[in-house]
Amino acid sequence: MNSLTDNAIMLRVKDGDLDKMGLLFERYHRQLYGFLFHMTYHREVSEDMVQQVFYKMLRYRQTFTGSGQFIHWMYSIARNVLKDQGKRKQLQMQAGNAEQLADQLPGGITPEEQLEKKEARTGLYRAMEKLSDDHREILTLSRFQELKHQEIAQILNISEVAVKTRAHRALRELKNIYINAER
Amino acid sequence: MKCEQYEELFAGWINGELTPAEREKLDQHLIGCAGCREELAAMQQIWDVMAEVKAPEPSANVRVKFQAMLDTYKESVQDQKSNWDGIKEQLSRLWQWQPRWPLAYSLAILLIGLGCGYLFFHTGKGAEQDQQLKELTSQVHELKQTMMLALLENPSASERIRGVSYTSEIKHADKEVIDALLATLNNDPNVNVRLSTLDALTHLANHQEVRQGLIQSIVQQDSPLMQSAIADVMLKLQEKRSVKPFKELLKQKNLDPGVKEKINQTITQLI
Amino acid sequence: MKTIKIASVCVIVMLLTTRLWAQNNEKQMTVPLSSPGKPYKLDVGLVDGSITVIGYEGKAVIIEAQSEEGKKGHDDDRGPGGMHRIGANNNADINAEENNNEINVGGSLGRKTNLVLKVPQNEGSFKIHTVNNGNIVISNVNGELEVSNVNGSIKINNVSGSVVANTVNGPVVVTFKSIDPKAAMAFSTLNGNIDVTFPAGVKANVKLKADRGDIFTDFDVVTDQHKPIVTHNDSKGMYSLKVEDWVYGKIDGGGPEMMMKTTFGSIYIRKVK
Repeated sequence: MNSLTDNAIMLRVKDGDLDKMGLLFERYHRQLYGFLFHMTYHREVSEDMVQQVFYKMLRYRQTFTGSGQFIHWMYSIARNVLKDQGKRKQLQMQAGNAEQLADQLPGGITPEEQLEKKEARTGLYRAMEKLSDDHREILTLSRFQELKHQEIAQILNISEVAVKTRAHRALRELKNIYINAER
Repeated sequence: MKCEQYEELFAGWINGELTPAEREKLDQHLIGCAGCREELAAMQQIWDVMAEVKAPEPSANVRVKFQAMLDTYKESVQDQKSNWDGIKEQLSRLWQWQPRWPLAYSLAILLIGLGCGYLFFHTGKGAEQDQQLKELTSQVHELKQTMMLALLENPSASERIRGVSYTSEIKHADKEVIDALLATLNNDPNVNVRLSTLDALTHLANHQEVRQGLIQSIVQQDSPLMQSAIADVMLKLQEKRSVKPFKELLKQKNLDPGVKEKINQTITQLI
Repeated sequence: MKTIKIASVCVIVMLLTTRLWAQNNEKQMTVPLSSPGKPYKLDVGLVDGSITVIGYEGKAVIIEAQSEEGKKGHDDDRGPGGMHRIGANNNADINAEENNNEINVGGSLGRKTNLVLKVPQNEGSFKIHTVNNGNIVISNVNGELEVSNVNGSIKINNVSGSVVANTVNGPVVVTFKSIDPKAAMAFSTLNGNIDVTFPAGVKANVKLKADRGDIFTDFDVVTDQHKPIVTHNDSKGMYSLKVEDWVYGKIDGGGPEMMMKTTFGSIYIRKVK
């Protein structure tokens, strides 16, 4: 049964076999969480949003047509959830969050390595936080979600050329922020 | 300085998505351009550092909560679908139990009891009848609202439009109705459904949250039809707060030229 | 068990059809329905290309596809060392899936594909959508139609049931044989006319708006509010209503909602002659 495509599973959910959503949850909740995490840098909020995305997919299951990829649909719902959330309470990223987050990840072997890695991470988190949402989004999709430009174009509903340009600008900006902060 | 034309290839280079021809083209340029070489190397470095900040694992709670949500949702769907079916089913189940006389007996007692109660409460007192009439009206109203909310989730666009058109029959649109309409305005996959929702919401513009929702919706609309329609609405409502999101919208590169003109006009008329 | 069975049938159908694609240059495939003669659902989505749907006297859905070769083209069918290609990657043009009388047809990205579908004339529900480089033409079908395009026209001819159609750049032209008297309908475009022909007995609550154009009709439209100003008579005896806001009106006492909206075109509501 695991060999079923995402679309086939979602179409079954649409047909009323709601339990099948569990399979899609298993397949994608980590990836989705990763995306939401980088968009909010807030663990609890991201977990809540994962929940909301799956709820919306259940509730609006009839709008899934199967003509596009399931994950594109999932990302578009996730983006809507983010927008809604952004509206409700301007999600402020707390100061000091970067260090805290950097601490939570596995570190290097020796204490020196650990410190070095932690510094690099903290710096990067800080830089990522400063990026505009658009730029953080595109970097998250291409770097952390490892999606192809073509797929990102579908999810964001823009042309592939626009994705390439935006990805480049985002990376350049991140680089500038990161380097300037080091000095 | 022709470097800009190569910059488009940078993202693909880092991502490993370039075709051999594109790669060749970029490599050729890089040989002769120290600036781009440096830039690209710095970007690659950042890209590599990013590997260090992958998102943490979600906690185990997520799965537990998901399962709970799924179960609740399944129940609620069942409830909606088969309140009546459920009663019928339970009755027929009771019917099968009939041979067990004690149960049938207690059932009979229960029915008689209910009947007496009904007679007792339904005699006399006009005030009480008024009360019942009011309840009945509110039930009908509620029913209409339920029907509308249910129609908004129908897979057929025609049915969803029908649902939206019921808005005019709901006298006091409450928060649930408004939220549902705003959700449809922003998320419905069909442009025509969104267009009729926009019109329905325009008639509810005396509600503050509707105005808020409409203004917030401006930047969310990607269809030129919706963008131009929402410009009309804002002009009609003379909503100055919409100028900012419209300006935001004008920054979008792929904006339809006709829509752009229209929004520019709208902004000048609003200011 | 039943679902497994259906799924496996589905997979077999898919395998069969992809084989057909690979071998056949004409690219035609027949997708049988699980319950022929019963109402069915058809969802066809393309990004690039035209879609034509025609009702015919048959029980299955026949799909014909012509795809324009990708930019680079497959100039050589020979691989390294004298090997030849058997499963070319251009056989993934179109995928069709049938499941419980629901058919989904989709195209692959980055390649223009034109589709012609012949479909049974019994009642169905249709979702037909494309984005670029193509028009949508539908004729002789019965049921509920949801049609959307972006850069191209929509022409729907001789259909029974209900239609919800929208495009951005192109006209929307619809002629009904009969209509579902309970269904709400909507037609919209940004650049183009909307031209809808209804049978004589239609009842509707109409909601009309042509921002930069005119509205013409030969039905008696009783407008509720915003008395329209009759500006001039059209040569064919239609009169034009012109107002800034939406025109709300009733045809024959009113009925389900019918919305029509165009920004840079005109609206024509015709009575079948």
